[in-house]
This record gives sequence, structure tokens and C-alpha cells, in this order.
Amino acid sequence: MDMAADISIRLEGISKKFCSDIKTNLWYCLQDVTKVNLNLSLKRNRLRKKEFWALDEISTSISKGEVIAMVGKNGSGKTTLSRIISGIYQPDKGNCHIGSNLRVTPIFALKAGLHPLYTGKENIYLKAAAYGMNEKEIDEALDNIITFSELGEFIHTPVGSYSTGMKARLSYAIAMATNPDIFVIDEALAVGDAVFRAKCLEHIRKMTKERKKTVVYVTHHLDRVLQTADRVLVLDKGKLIRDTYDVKDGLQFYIKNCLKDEALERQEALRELIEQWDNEK
Amino acid sequence: MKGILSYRYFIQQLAKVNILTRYKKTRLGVLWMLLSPLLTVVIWVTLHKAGLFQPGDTGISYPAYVFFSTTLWALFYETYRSVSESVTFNSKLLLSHRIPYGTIVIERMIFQFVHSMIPLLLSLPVIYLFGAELGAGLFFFFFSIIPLLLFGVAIGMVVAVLKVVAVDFSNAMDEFMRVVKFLCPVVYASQADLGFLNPIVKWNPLTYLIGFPRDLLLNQHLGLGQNYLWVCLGLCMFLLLSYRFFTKSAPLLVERLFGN
Repeated sequence: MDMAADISIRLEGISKKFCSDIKTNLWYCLQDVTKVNLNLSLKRNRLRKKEFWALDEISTSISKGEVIAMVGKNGSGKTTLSRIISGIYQPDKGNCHIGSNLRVTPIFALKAGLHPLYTGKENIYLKAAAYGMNEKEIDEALDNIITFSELGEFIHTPVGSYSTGMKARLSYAIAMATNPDIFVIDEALAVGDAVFRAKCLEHIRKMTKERKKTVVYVTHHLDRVLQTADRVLVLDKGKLIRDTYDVKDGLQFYIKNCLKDEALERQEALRELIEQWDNEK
Repeated sequence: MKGILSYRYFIQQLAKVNILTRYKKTRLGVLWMLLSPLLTVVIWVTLHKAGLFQPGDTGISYPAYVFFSTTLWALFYETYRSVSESVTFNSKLLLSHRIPYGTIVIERMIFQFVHSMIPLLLSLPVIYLFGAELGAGLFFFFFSIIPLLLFGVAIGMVVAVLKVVAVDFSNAMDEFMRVVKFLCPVVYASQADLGFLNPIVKWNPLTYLIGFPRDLLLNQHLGLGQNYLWVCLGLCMFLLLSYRFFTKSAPLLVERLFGN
């Protein structure tokens, strides 16, 4: 389907179901595998016993140059939606359209693809290759990756000896080297030192504003949303309950509707954080 | 296939890392590739000396025969095992990167090919020292073992899916594969009389996929050739079906990999 030139992602009625019981889940999977190999219909639009909608009819469009923050409680469907946008999961219903020739680079688990017994430099070649880069492209990007990760001489030591923050820096620098058109970050910036995080957030802003890239990131840290996001998507129990360009409004809505069971002090602290940011702005 | 081709550098990188990782912490390093089949020979020679088997006429000395046959068996079995673990082994990678599914199978094939070919090459001087005559069959031998490797890949791709969705079945399959070693002429000669097991050995494709290359190399004998060709023909169809099964099923497996 054709998409407007300035749209990078269009989600049309995306639904994804999961099963709450492991053994039943595997039994359903066996049934589905059998059906798909016999070219029979999977009837994906109805729930079977013990299944639930992890995502339910999500529809929205994301433009080039936007930083989208997805917020929601654990289990609200943020990671599932990120994986669908990244092409890792298939939706059960609906369609996820990515603009033609746009490169999507996801960062999920920071350790994924990093081998502890190999040096940072050796891991650059492996992880960048997993993103689809060839040797020549990696050779060309190598210096930038090492510089951006700020690992210095540690780039020649095994990754197993790295701190979590160092791994995060390396992973982020490698992902950036892929020069993505759409960058999906799932809590990957939750670890690491504050200075490097600030550098990443600044980098994200530059990417989107100067080079018209799209960033979709999942976080529980409202301060990071306030610093970078142009738009907030609030998810709750698999539904998109708020989609707004008013970041302040989106986060207040999130606190009011999704964090109502949290301690009042925490809710108040988050509201103050938003007000403080608004005043400073 | 186009998607897989564009990931060929990734396959090369992943195979290199996985091949070397196993030995990264060992002092003997890749020598372990040789030690494992040698240990198998020691076990089988010991069992043989104990009079446990009547292997029939093997043509060459029994230790050399077993050494070479188990090396061929290992090429099949380890390829099967390696490919069958391709999805579970790469679960974290599949949950965090969009990778064409065929790449993980090809990487496992390369990984196991390197692991199996080194002992196989090293076994040639060993059987020569045991008195085997390596003639013109040596050149054709290396081509004739390709179907054996592909048979391991084909079964491995089916079991790779079952390892995620039907773990009990895949465990049973793993155990069964260990038994299969005794249902084809690996530790006994092709002509050995096995009583009620004779029909099973006769219909076992591995009898021909292992027996033909071995006879070709050791005795320059083509006696199993006709059946070998029939098995290869059937294998082509099985391989295509297996690949179709794997690639159609894999997208449904990824979201069930969280426990691996």
C-alpha cells in the first residue's frame, strides 16, 4: 500500500495475542505450525482458551523526524509493539507498513549478540553484521563506533570484563553505525552513566531534527521522555489509550490512568517533575 | 535466498565465533576435535576385545574401520544436532534482530562442517597407517559425503521446530538418533548378519549414505551405488520439504522463545 512520503511507520489495527499458559501456548503453536504447513487458515482474529490480546487494534502513523516515546506499565504491550515495528514479531491482525527502503534498527537486550570472550572490537564486527552490515561498511564505521562508545583502550579487552554501562555504550554505538532511518530503542538507555545517556539523547534529537530520522523508544523514565520526545503514546493492557503531541499532557494522562495504583508520593513526585520541566522550558 | 545472501558476512562472523568459542577456554584448543573421535575408537575397541560384537568382515582392521565409520557417523549426527539447536541456540538473537531464518541454519552447517571435516581429514592418515589403501576413490569420496551432511541438515531443520513446540518429541528424537547409530553399519560390516534387525538396516538410508562413501574410499567398491543414488534422490525432496517446513514455521516460533 502506498504511504505518504513523510510517513515512516503506519500501524493499521495491529493486534497480537499471547497465551497465559506455557504448555497450552506450545500446543497452540504446534497446531499453528501444522496448519501453516498445510496452507490452512490460522483464524488469527479469534482468541482460544487462555489467550489474551497483548495488543488490541493499535492504529497510528509516525512521521519522519519524530521522536516517539511509548509509555505504559509492565505488560501494557510496549515491547510487543516495538518488536512488530522491528519486524521480529508478526501481528495476528492488522498491518505494519514501513516506508519503502527505510532501514529499521532495533536495540532490545543490550547483551544480545555480544560475546563475552571476545574483545569489544571483535564484537563490533559480529553485532554490526547481525544488523546486516558487510565487512567494508563495518571497516568504514569502526573508528566512529570506537569514538562514540568512549571505550578507549578497553575496546581491545573481552566484553565479559565490561560493566553494564560499557556494554550499553558499545551496543548503542554499533546500532547507530547502521545509520538507521527508524531507530527502535526498548529500555536500552535505562542503564549506563548519566553523561553517556545525555549524549545519546542529544544524538537522538540531532538524528531526528537534522536528518529526518524516526526514533521510537520505550521507557519508564519520564525525565527522558520530557527531554527528547515530540509525541507520547500511552499503552495500557494492549490498547493505545493516548496518542498526543502534547508531551506534558500525555505524561499527566499516563500518571493519572496507569500509575493510579502506585504510592501517592511517587505520583506526586512525577507530577512535580513534569511541572518543573514545563517551568524551565 | 536473496535475504540470506545479503547476510553472508554475518553468517561468516557468527560461524567463526561459534567454532572458536568452544575452545576459547581450553589449553588444547582445536585438538579437542581430534580427541573426541579417538576416545570413541578406544571405547569401541575395548568393547570389541571384550567380545561384545561380531562385526563381520570389515575388509580392513576393525579399529580402523570403526574409527573411520564413527567419524562419518559424527559428520551426520553432529550436523543434525547442531542444526536442530539452531533456533533455541540463537533465541536471544532472534528476539532482538530481524534476521532471515535460513542464516541460522547455514551458520550451524558451517559450524559443524568445520568441526567434522578436521577429524575426517585427520582420520585419513590414521586408516592408511592401519593398512587401508587410499586410491582414486579419495577424490570422489569428499563429494559422496555431501548427501550425508545434507541428511543431517534436513532432519535437523524439522527437529529445530519441534525443539520449541514439542520438546518431548524432540528429546525422544535425540535419543532415537543415538540408537540409529547401531541400526546402520557403523560398528559392524555391511554384510554382517544381525538377525531380526536386517530389514531395518536394509531400509535405513544411512546404511547407504555412510556405507557407499566408506566402501568407495576403503575398498574402491561401488556395490551400494544404486541404492545410494535412490537415497540421494529421495533426500533432495526431503531437504526441500524440510526447508519449507522450517521457514514457514520459524516466524511462529520466535514469540515462543522467551523461555530459551
